Amino acid sequence: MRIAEFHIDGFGRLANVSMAEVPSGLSIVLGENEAGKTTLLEFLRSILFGLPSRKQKEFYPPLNRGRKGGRIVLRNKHGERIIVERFEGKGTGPLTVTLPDGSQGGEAEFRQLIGSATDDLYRNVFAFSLSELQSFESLKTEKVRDAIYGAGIGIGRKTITQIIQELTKQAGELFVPGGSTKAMNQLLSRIEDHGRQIKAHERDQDEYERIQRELADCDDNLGRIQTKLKQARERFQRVGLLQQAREDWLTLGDCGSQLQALPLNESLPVDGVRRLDGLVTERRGFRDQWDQTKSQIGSDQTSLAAIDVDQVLLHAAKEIHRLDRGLELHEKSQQELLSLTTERELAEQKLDGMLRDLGDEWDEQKLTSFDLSVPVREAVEQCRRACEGAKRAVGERKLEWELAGQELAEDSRDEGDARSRLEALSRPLASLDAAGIRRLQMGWERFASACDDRPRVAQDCETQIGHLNDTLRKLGAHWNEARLRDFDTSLSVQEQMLAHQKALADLRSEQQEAVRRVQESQQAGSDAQSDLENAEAVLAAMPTCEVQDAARLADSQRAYRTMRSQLNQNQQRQADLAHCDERLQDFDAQIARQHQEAQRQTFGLPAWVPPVVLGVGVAGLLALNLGRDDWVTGGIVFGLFAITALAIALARRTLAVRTERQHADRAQAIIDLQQRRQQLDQAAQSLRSQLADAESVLRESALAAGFANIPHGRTLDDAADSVERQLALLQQRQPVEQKRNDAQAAITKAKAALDRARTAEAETTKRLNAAKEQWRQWLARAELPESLTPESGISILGRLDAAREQLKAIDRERDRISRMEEATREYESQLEAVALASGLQAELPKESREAVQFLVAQLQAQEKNAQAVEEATKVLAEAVKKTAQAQTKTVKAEELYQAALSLEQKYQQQWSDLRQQLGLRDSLTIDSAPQMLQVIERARDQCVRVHDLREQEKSSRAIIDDYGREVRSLCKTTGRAEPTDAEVSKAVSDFANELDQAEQAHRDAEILRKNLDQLKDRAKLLERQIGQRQDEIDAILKAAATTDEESFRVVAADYETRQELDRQIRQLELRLLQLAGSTNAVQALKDELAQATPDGLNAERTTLEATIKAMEQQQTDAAGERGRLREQLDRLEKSDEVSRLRIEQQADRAEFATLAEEWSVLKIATRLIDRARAKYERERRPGVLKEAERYFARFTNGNYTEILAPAGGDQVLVLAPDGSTKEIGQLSRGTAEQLYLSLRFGFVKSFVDNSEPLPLVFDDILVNFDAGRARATAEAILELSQSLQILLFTCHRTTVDLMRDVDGGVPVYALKGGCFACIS
Amino acid sequence: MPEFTFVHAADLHLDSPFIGLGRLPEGQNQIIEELREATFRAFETVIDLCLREQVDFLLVAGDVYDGADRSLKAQLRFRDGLRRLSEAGIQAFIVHGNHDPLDGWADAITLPEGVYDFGPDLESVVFEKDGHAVARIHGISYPTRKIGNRFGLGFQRDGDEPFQIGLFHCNAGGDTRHDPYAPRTVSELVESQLDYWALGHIHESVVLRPAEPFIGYPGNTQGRHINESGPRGCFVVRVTAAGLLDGLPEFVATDSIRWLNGDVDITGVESLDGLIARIEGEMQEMTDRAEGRAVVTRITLRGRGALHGALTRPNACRDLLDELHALGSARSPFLWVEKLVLRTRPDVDLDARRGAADFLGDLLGLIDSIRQSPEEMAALRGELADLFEHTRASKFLVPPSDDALRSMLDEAESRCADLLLEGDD
Repeated sequence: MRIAEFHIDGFGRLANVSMAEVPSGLSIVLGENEAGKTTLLEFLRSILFGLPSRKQKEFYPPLNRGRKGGRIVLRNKHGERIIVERFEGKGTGPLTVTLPDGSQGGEAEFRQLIGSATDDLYRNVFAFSLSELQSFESLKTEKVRDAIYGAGIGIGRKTITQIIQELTKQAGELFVPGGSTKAMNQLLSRIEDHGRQIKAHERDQDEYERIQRELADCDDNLGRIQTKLKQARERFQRVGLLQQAREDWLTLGDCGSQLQALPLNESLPVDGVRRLDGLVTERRGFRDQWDQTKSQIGSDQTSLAAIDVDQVLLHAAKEIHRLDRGLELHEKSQQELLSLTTERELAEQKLDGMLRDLGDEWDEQKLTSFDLSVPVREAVEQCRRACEGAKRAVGERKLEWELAGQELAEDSRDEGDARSRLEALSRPLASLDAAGIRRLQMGWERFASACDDRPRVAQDCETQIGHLNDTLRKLGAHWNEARLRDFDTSLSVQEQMLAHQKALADLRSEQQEAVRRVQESQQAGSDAQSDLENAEAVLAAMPTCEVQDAARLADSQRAYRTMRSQLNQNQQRQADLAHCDERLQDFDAQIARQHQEAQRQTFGLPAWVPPVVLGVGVAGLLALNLGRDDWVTGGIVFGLFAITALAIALARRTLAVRTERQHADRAQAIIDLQQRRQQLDQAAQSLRSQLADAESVLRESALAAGFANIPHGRTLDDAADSVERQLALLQQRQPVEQKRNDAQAAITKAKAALDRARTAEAETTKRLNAAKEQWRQWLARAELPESLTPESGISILGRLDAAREQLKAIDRERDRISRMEEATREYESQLEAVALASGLQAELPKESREAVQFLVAQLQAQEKNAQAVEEATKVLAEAVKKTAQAQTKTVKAEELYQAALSLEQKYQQQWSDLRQQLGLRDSLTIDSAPQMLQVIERARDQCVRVHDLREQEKSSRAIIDDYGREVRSLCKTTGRAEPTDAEVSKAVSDFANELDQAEQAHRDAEILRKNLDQLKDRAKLLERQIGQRQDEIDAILKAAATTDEESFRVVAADYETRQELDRQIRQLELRLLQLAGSTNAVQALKDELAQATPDGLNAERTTLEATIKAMEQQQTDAAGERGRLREQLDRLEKSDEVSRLRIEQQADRAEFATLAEEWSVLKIATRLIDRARAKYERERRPGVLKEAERYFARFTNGNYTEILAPAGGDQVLVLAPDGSTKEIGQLSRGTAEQLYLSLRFGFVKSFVDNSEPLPLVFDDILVNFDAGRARATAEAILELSQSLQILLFTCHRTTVDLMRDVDGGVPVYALKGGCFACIS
Repeated sequence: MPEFTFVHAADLHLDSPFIGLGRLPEGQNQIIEELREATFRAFETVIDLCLREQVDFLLVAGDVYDGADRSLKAQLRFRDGLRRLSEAGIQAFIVHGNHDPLDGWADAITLPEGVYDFGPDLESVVFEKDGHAVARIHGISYPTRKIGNRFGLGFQRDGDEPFQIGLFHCNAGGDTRHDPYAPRTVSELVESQLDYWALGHIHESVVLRPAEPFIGYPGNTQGRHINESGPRGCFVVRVTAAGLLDGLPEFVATDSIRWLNGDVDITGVESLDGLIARIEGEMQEMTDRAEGRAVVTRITLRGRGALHGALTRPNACRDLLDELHALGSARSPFLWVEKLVLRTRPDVDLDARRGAADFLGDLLGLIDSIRQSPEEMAALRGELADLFEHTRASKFLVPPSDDALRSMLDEAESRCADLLLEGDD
């Protein structure tokens, strides 16, 4: 990728500045201070990777005019144009890329184009200013470091840091210790939450048991209520029954009395009245029917007498029916005869016409006898086809004869033309040295090329000699061509140098390793020391543990937990016991209350009250009687007292019954209460014993756990908390103590390692110095400068090899020049010889090229003439041959024509013979013959048709005549007048009508006779039935001992009344039986009814109603309570909550385990990459550093040959000429800049091997280089510009001169006043 | 003596959830319900089997429930099943194991008539048929979860009953994969001179000795995780009039859902659609194997292929699993993919890259050296301490075994190689 053009719309001081056609290699931009070079550098970087924002120190607002931003036109390696535009806008300014195919894109498409390059990378490595070059910081960013290592790491698009970040991020999204929002942290919280919920459900079991107990109590209570309710309802129903039966019982008594009052008649026939009524009605009905039948017989006899039947016609019925059926056919035949006659006449007319068309000689007989067989037709057709073929052949042969004549005339004309053309082409031919001319023509290219190339090759050779001399001068004063040819750069010298180099490098590496080990040991020691301090500090900060034994603490914790649980159980038991006691007291109170109630209810009216009242009454009576002799008043007073005494006695009796019932109920209630109390008491006893057992167990546990007595719950909780705290503390302290111990062991180990490492370092330094001395001795033997290092020695060997290659190339060029000169001379002498041989010496031009062209033209003219004569001769011979062929063809065509004519005559004769044979007219041609035959055939068909019609006509007439005869015969037989032919149809119709009428009259008479017979039979039957009914009526009257119907009905009414009373009594008895339930119970019911009064029943019913209502309410309440308990139980039984929670917890645990595995894989992967990176950086020298080393050696003329790898850190060391390693800070400013530049060039070289090359932009980077190093750098820049585009900005004319000194063709542009100008 | 038949079942683990199964998505209520009901349905199948075969009694050799936190529902369903047997006149004999010891047994649930529940001391009961004492059953229940090694010693033939059974929840024959509750050797059991050892505790169906006496585990009635794959059920045992086993006990599968392992090779598969088609083939094969039951399966993707890259992208496996869930839940009976395990490798030969002088070569070399060094493996385990030694998380995680750690290292190797080679086409 290179910059082809750019346009600055507005950027800092630059506005509307363009540069078209930026060269592909190196270009220099020369501009004075403040001309805008740095601005231009920033512009190029900004357009590609983003405009500087306002927050930055330098954000280059457009100072003159224009919009901030601009356009760069890039060309890729295929030469395609890509336009990149960026203007001020959101963020770093939106980027627009126009791709080679015209499509547009943004940042993403641009990143795609530039591959793995990033903003940082480009700013720090590809495009930088002097100040940026001087800053090592710009090389220390993580991204650049990644890129340096990534360039040779052999991996894909991502850097190691990116991969590690990605893995760490993924792991971090799964789990963070102490976090709460990450996936696994959330899962963990959920799992714990579910665990707590499941634990809470463990109490369901106790709850279930409690509800079951309460449910059992509730069921007992409900059972009792239901029993009592049942009893009350039974009594209530009994009272209702008595009330219901009372009415029926009274009616039953009435019915019995009425029955006894009615007389008894045993002889009345069963169902007598109904039967008598039925018989009387039937007798009346039969009489009415007998009257109707008699009247019908009379009318039917009259009708029969009025009917008359024609017997003659009835006898001829069969014949009449046959003729009637044939009438339709007769009429049809008449119509057909008419149409046949018409059709025959038309056919005869048409046949006559056809015979006239055929000719006078044709009649029906000739027509019928004419031979129209297939052989005759075929003979006529063959003859016709033969005549037609012969006629056509005559026409064709005549045309061919005429065409052959025309062709002969044309060929004769062509022959004449060819002869005259050949005569015109006759000219004498010259003789030339054709072979020689062709040789000259072939050798011309080589000759011309040799003439043209010779000066250039000579110039190149001179240049190469100049370069070789330069190289020799650089190698040293004592080097010249002769020494170069002689010097031994054989493999053994190289190997020796390499051996020295390797030995030195290995020793240096060992030394570095030793130093590193020392540092590592020191680091490890200090790390361990700091770990130790940290651990001790943490331990000091932690509270100390009273008990160190974790197992003992765990035991204590378990014991406390068990005791706590036992304590809770005991508390529950005590609560249950208290509850029992409370309920026992309740029971006692209830029992006492029942006793009191019983006692309170025992009072009533004393038994002596009624006799006393009665006594007072007697006394009053006696007093009034005896004293005043007033019987009336005395009787009234006595009566009042007696009624009062009776009322009191009755009331006392009722009250006594009720009280007795209440006593019984209360006694039952007291027994129930006492039973329940006893059960509860037993439960309480059991609880007390359990409690006592549990307390003894608890006491033992407490003693074992170090308590004097059973501790309080809170005390236990405190003790458990304390143990838990100590356990937690122990758990916290354990890892820290482990760390402290580990750290102490690590310190000891690190000290030993440090001692070993220091010894090794001293040993290595000693061996390195000895190796350096050996190298110096070898240099002296090889007559090489003592300052040479093995690396620079190899470098010199390389350069000597290069110089020898240059020398060889120069030798080859010299040889080539002498061969060119020899070839030129040889060609010129050949030219002269050919001209002489061709006799053209005098006309030959002086100049070689023209001379050769002249000879070639002569040769071409001669060859062209010879070719034309040859062609004309060929044309003449061809014309003569064609004329002869045409003559032969004409004669042959004439012969064929004559033969066709004679054949045509033969076929005409044949037709004439055939015509005669068939008896056809002579005027008939063969062409008309087939048509004639078709006309004859059609006429014959018509003739046949006429014959057919005549036959049909005859047949129809015969049928009509037969029918007429039959009809006339029938008329004669029946005595009717004979009809004419025209009247036959009408006569037949009349016969048919009259026959229909006769048949109808006959049928009517038959029906009337049958009816009369039936009516007479019926009249006799009715008379018999009337007699029977009368006999039965008489029998009934006689059975009831009555003589007439009236008296019979009175007796029957009495009997009915008696029957009705019996039925009522049975019904009432049945109803009472239904109410009572059984026969025995009926008597009890009647007795009870005899005892009860309506008011007494009403009062009892009201009382019972209230009782039932109250008990129903109790039952409802108890059932409600039972339902509630049952519902709770059902809820617990059907609850899926625990299952659901456990399933969810398992699901979460499964997911947690899966994520844990994923997290582990990510952590391991992160660790692996990290470790592999450390190993890679430690053990492998990246390609970037190797490239950088080569550049650094070149820039410093071989003084510095090695850059030591920044192993995992940001430190760069170089190997100084004296063999010592130096840090950057120890280098001079120029050397440091050369090192930085080397690193950048090294990276660029490695980068372009793997990615899209990007243009390099340097801003005055050579100012601090001395002349020699500046030149070496300039050479390297030029070399790099062979494969990359480089823009070098400078304000120093000397830099321009230096670059142009190295390569005179480098284009230089001046930047002044915001404009570019190419100055050379 | 009349012939008789009984069913020997064990390890019902009623209402214990399936392990390893992730949270099922909304809308899969039917599958959720069937999974939740699986252990109950298996138990009901045992009851149905007893009724269908008109057996004389049922033996349950412990672990009716899964643990101390058993649900009330499980207890009630167990009681309901036994009640069905009781109504049909079939007796049941039950001992308790380490998962349902007597101290966790609920008084609230009264077992129906005809169920004999063995106590914490070794005892024996006689089973009578048609007035003949045909069998004597010796049994003992775990009083508590933790019992000593000597627990349950003393099983010995007693009385004149011709067929004598030992009903016991123990680890016989030294199976190291299960907790060593009441360890017994086969010869110890033989010495007791019983005729049939109805054992529980081992969840696979195992016959330790086919006759004189028969010693065997029917296994659990329903598999509950991927390590309990394959058929699960109970034994139907027939005893002749001579008091001898009428052939080997017949194993009858009772599981309502079957756990199966699936393996799919991605080699040669070019697209995700192709992979799904191949997995569907495997799913069909598993459904056939399950003989009309629903299936829960773990599918492991193996092999080296072009699809590896697509499968290792974030969420790729989850998306594929969603797709498989949709396909599996639409089947009847359903097939639920419990987990998709990725054991695929990239379509590059990592062995060939192992010795290369580049970063990947170094990395692979480092991993090899870690694999071979126990110290390095221990250090690797230390890298995971943040999670596995985390106070709260460690309660719910099992520290990775050596094999698991090795497997994680393999997976990490594959993951690293993917990341390093990404875009390196």
